[in-house]
Amino acid sequence: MKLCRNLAAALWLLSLFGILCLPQVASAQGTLTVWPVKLEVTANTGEILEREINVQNEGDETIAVRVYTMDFSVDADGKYTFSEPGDESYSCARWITAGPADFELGASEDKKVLVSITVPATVEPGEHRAAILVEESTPADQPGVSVAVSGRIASLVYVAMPGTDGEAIVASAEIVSLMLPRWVEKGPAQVGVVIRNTGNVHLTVATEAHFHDYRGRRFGDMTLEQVVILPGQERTVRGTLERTPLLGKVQADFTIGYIDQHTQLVNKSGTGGFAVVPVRLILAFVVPLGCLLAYLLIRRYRSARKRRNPLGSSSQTGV
Amino acid sequence: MRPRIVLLATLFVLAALAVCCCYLAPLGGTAEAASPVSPSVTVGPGVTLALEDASNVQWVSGGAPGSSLNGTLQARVSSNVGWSLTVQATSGHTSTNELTDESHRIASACFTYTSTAGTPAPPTGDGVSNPKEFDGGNQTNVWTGGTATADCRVAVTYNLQIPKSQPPGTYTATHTYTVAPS
Repeated sequence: MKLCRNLAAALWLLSLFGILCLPQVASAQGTLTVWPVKLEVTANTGEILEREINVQNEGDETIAVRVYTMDFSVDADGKYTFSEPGDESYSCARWITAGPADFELGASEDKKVLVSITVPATVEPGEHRAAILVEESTPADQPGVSVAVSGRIASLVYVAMPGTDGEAIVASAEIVSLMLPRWVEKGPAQVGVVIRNTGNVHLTVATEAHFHDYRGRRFGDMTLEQVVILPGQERTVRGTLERTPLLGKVQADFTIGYIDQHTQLVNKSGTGGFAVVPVRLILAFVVPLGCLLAYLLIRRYRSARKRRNPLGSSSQTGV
Repeated sequence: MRPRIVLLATLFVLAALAVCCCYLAPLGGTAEAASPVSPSVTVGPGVTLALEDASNVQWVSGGAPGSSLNGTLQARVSSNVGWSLTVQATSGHTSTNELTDESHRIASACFTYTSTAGTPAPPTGDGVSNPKEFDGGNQTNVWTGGTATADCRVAVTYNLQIPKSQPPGTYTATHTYTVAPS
């Protein structure tokens, strides 16, 4: 009997231990993978292009998938906006059909979505773009307060259209301005550069910055975020310079790099500067020095005055 | 008799040697230059997205008027290109996509989120540190400046302040998270 009780207790403890050691499984919807997430093509008017997008469910449950096209734009801070087809200028969302548009994917199953791009007979030269969105959703069906969450991945389509009159595709960018403080007390310092796409196709632009102190010594290098800039738009690329010299002028050299229409690497640079003024440090030295100097000057003045007017001082103490 | 045996044995040995030479002797002549074989594979840009712990933003028992509901879901991302994550309220109250029970709505000012690096953390980028309202008309940032990563999570913490005068009901909305390559 005692043996049975001990055995039961041991089994109970073991099961409790096993339960506590069970890995915590996060409750998840499907895991959606899409590739490629960029389709960059060159087309002529009236042409029909076909491409494929792969969609895979890496989760362990069957999911419902929906595929549809939208316009997109990117603001200066890199925030994407998706809108109805035809809302944006240079949209090609209405040229695109993607099918199948609705389907189910089992666990670990993948499917190819055929993307057909039909270029109209007349179209403005330049780059046209759209987003193909692959979405998986789970409805919320709980009482109380319930938020259904849905995840989607955007595959961005860029269709470059050479002009019918021979107008070329132009890939170029310029540095518009540098974002530098006038002065800082010490690091970190927020710096940045505004870049404008002056071409007619989207550009991927890389940016680097190098910093020199007042002696011309290089003390800092920075690789900033690589960004995609749509034609005619500007993007602001920011970074943080962690360390600055103790004091003096700082020269900042920004260099952008991109691939032009001839597949050549192009670098362009801009230079600016700011000052490092350690205010508190200066005050910590200057104020005591100033007080000491003032004290010495006052004392010297009084001594000089005493020497000039010795009687004046003794008459006060005399008869 | 003996000479025949010797002859046969000699012939046998010579034949064996000839056969062995076929295997052991180096090949004569110049070998043809091997055609180079260059395996190649094209790796396209790809992204994976999973929304974990979505049940944390389904408050089955609701909340008392004047109370606060919180929940955190995890957006799990892997990508071989730069990426950004945004969210938009895509269904709910007509035109605003706020939480609704079809008759009433909870104002968007009451429903906010913040986002931080989860585990594993994205290698680069920024979340949203100050509470931000869910927007029914535009994407709002959840994570910006993400770079290539084999696996990372972004924790999105929801906060819902239920007004004291909120009529009882079942309130729902849909939030759509979008990963876009940069």
